[in-house]
Amino acid sequence: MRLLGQDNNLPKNERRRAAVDRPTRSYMLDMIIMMVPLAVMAVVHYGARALGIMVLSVLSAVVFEGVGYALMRRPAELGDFSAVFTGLAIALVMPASVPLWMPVAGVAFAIIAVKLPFGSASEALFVPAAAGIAFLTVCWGDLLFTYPAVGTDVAVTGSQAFVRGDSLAAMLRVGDSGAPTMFNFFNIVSGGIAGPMGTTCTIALFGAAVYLLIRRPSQIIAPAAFVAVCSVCAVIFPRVLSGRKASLTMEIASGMLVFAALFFMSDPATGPKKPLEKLIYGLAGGSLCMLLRYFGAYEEGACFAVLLMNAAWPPVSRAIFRRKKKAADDKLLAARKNQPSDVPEGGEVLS
Amino acid sequence: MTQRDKAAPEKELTYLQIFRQGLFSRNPVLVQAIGICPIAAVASSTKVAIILAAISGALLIFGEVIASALYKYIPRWLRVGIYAVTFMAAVIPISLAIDKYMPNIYISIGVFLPLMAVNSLLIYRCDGFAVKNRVRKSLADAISYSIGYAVVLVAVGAIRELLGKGMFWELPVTATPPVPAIDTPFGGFLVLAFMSAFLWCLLYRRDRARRSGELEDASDEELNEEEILSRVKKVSAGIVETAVGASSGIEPNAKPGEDVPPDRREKGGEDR
Repeated sequence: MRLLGQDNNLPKNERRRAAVDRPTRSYMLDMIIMMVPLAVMAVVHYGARALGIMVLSVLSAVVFEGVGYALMRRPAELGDFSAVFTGLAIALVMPASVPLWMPVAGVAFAIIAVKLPFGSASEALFVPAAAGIAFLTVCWGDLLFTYPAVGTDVAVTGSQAFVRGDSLAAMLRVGDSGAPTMFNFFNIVSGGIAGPMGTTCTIALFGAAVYLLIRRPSQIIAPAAFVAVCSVCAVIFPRVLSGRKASLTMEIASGMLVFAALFFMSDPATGPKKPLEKLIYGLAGGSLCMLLRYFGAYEEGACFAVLLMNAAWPPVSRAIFRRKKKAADDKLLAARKNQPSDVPEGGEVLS
Repeated sequence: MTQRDKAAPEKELTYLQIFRQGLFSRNPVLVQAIGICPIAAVASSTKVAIILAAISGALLIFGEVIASALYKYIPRWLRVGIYAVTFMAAVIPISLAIDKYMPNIYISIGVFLPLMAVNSLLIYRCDGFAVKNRVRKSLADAISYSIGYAVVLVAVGAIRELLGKGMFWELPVTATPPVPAIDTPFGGFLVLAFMSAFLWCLLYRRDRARRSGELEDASDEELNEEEILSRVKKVSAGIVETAVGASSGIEPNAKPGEDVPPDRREKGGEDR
């Protein structure tokens, strides 16, 4: 394939390096590192089938992206690892019993319909993985929310026969409050309950949050606000009768709430840049997520909340921050007139 | 799209241009996004889609002929209301006939049948074209737009029936529907979006081919593609450098090649 738009005088390795979007690659690598423990827990709980789904999903993401870039006649930006991130994220919210074509369909929608039309990962309007999951939820929701019981072996290929398990999200939906008496607390937070294969292990998710806090403290604001709002909602308006603590545990550990917050709300390409805006973004996303859980058509609404925030944020932020933004611009202009060389606020604009 | 930017009604269009616009370059649904409501909401089977297409085509032809023949001297503020009354007068007998002879389809179309009287496509064509042109041209315009609308409507209906219900012309094709959600309005929007993207892609390619053809005619020297590319790249890199240089107060150490690769900026501008 001819590499368009690149300097052909550079040596080959330099050229390849120039095509990589470095900030995106570093963010995506962090995200993938955060997903590794989740993937390991998925394999521990569901065996080789989980590994197979993840490998298939990642491979198909890379293939779709490569083919898509080739069709668009653009240099393949596979080096930013965003395709790997998308594939892995979609695979981790699948139940282990899912038919093998489903993650591939989700990845295809995420890459071909959501990401490539807008360019690369840093230019997408929506988080591609969240859009892929939302697409699968709407199209094949019954398959997506049917979970196998933990520890039962699902055949690696083919057969659909498996022992069904009750997920926390399904229990919450019907108001079944038996969970805390049936399972102990450690069992819940370590992923011992049926659910999406990568997101039930809440301990690993909070470990990933600590990693994010250390590596990128500024990116933790939106996810933290998201989870905080959900926790407050769970405590104030419990859906189960066995108490507020049980409600909190079940809401946080169920579905893909913390997962979506950590991996989709922290996306620098689609989210806001400033701390206060991030806080509001996270709070609004969390409220939307809980509203969708309480009144929505599906038992899990976190990916819809993320997509709605992606779509609504630019006009909303313009409406909220108009005066402030204008004042900041004026200040910047005035400062530039006086001293063109050192303006500290300028870093915000280009970063 | 240069084709779209031209003010159509002022220039006398030939019949060929009228037909090409209605079917292709200014397709009401896929290019201009007019009259989406019945397509997304009810066109979930081929039969319903064909009935809808026939109704909208008949209404459009009727309305445009009447508008270009009679409504030319009515002031603009009054015209829109008169269109609605005209279409309502046509919709009432149609809906009564459908209720009598095809009650199932009447139920499945539901409220969208009376809503056809205020369909944006009808009023847009009447006020945008018919009252400014002669009757014959208006008739041609109505036919071309109703064919353009009908093609999309029937295609969407067939695709949604096949994917959402697993049937074709009410005969089962697959045992279970492959994607049940396509049957809902969500699926209607999704199918429309993909079709629209495909048509835009074709239009964009045609436009680009036309432009590059003009370029070739203008220039005497032969440039191969690599050379053209390198020239474009140099120019765009220069633009980015000057832009960054002009606002160098922001971050003096910024390397333009790292933060915003010039090729990407150029690409982005071209794509949107």
